[in-house]
Amino acid sequence: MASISIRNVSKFFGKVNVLKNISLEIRDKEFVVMLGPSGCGKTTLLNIIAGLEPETGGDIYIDGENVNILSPGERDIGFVFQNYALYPNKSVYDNLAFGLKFKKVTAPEFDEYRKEAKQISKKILVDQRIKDISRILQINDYLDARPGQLSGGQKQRVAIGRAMVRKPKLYLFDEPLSNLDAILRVSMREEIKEIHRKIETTIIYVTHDQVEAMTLANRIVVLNHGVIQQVGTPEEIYNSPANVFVASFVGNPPMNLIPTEIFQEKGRVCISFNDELITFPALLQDKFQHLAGKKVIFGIRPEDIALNDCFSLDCKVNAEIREQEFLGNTVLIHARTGKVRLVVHSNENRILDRGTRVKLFLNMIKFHLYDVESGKIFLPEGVNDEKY
Amino acid sequence: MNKKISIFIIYSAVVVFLIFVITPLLWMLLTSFKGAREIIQYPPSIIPEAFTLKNYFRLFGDTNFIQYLKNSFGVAASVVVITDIAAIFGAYSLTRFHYFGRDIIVISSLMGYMVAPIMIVIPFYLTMRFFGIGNTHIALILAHTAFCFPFALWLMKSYFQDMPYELEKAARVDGASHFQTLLHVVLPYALPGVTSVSIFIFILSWNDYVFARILITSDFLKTIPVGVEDIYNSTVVDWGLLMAAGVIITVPILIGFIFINKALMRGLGYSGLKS
Repeated sequence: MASISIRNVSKFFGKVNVLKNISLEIRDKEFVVMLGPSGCGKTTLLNIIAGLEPETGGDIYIDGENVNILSPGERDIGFVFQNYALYPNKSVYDNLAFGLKFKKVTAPEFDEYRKEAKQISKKILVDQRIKDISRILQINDYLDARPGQLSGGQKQRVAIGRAMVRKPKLYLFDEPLSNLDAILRVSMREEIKEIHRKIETTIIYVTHDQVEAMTLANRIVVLNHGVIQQVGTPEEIYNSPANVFVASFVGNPPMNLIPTEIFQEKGRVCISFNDELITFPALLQDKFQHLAGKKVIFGIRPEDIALNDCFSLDCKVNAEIREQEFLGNTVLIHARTGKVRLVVHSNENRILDRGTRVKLFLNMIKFHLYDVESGKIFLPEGVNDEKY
Repeated sequence: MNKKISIFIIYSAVVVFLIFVITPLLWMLLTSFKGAREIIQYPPSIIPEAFTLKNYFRLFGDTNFIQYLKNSFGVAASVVVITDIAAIFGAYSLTRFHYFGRDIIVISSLMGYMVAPIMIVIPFYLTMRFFGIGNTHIALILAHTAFCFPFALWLMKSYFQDMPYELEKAARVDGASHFQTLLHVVLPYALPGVTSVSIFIFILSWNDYVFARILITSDFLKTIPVGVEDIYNSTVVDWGLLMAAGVIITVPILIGFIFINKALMRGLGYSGLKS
């Protein structure tokens, strides 16, 4: 049970500024995923929270207590490493027990016994706890094995178990699934979610995999170049990316981002790419009028473009099919209108010939406009995030 | 065809080299089993005609050889323990902490190696005498430690660098102090390295002649290399005795080398690549 408060944390490696003034509040029992490309500083931030890396500036509070000077062991955290980091020369049992070696072990469930027997030896408590955890994680059959004898999934379970036996108030996961194969990753993902439901403890989870982030998180923190780009629920992050980076990073295939300019023609706000004129629907006319004359990036997700008239408010664009990727349930269409490339996520299960001329329907409810210079989103006047 | 020829050439070279290396050792072993007369007979016999263990009995019975053996073991073991402890802490600090002058320490630890032992041995002897520990095993142990330490430090350093840092992070999250991490996580991981370093130090100390010759004067304190040389210096050269002594000295080293061969090669390779 812990709330974490990260205040103005920055980190320099030599002259390289990896974290720039990061501030973040994490609530108790929350599952927060830090998402970002490699080198964005997410692991460094995790190490700083754990105390494994000293921060250059700023403060970390756990449950309102400043932990800057506390060692990792004193912060009462569980850490699951990307490469498992199991002690190779200890058995699974000893790996799990190692974390309790330096910790006072208490168990409320034994309190009654204790009154009778005065004292229950630590060994019994440790043993009991390891048995419990290993049963939950289904590793009780391998307790005598060495880490080298285990498969990737089993190692990962042991690594999670090692964090769990200490019953920490905060769990930190550093890309725990990236060394597993695709099928195992999906099942471990479910298990981690299940564990979080059971233990009801704050988890901070670092990954570069957006699917993991989307499926696991209560809230996602998108990081890039040591700066928080956006904090929000998976829905918020996906449906209204705050800037061009988030728009391009979250979503597979990524959002179509087309640099263009807003202008008014015959009193109507529109943009154009190639020779296609895209008029904003009447509903949004007033809301974007103030942007007239601005250079913008027009963003629209591949699934918000269709080959048939299926959106309530749409705009038609002529395009030519360049390439198609058949994915089974859907087809990815790479289309071109003039020099502009558009990726379309089509549910229609048909393959069109290369070079076919088609009409693309753009969903004019779900598009985004970004400032060319700052990359920040232009919100329609008087419209909040929720509108999107 | 070409490949076969090159393999043939390589193998021939190896065989020639092995003959050079093995013949003296083999000759020593065979001679140690010969009687005094057979040793000097001409033409010499290769396989002992009258196999005898007399040389060994005389070696252990008539000379101080057992005392030399004890001394050598005592000195070498002490050197191993002291050097290991110093090198483990040294290498851990050099690979895990950043502090002023760290790189200078690493480089300067090798300085001692640049000078031939024979050049330091006299100043060393004078220093030891100044401190009143000339002609003691302590002086010899200090000398060997000083001589072995740089090498041990560098080898150990390469082993520690080789180790995944996450393991230590995990230990620290688990609440272990730096010392506990070293003891419970780093050392078990580096155990093969520590073992090979230890054996190597043992051999260096065991084989040392120069320091032992200068620093030790009383017969009772002599180590094997010096003791055996004094057998040789007697008026009549007792070849049988010498050969038997040679065999006894060589055996522990041979066994040691067989054990560390692989590990040492690995260590040397890594230190070359990484530091």
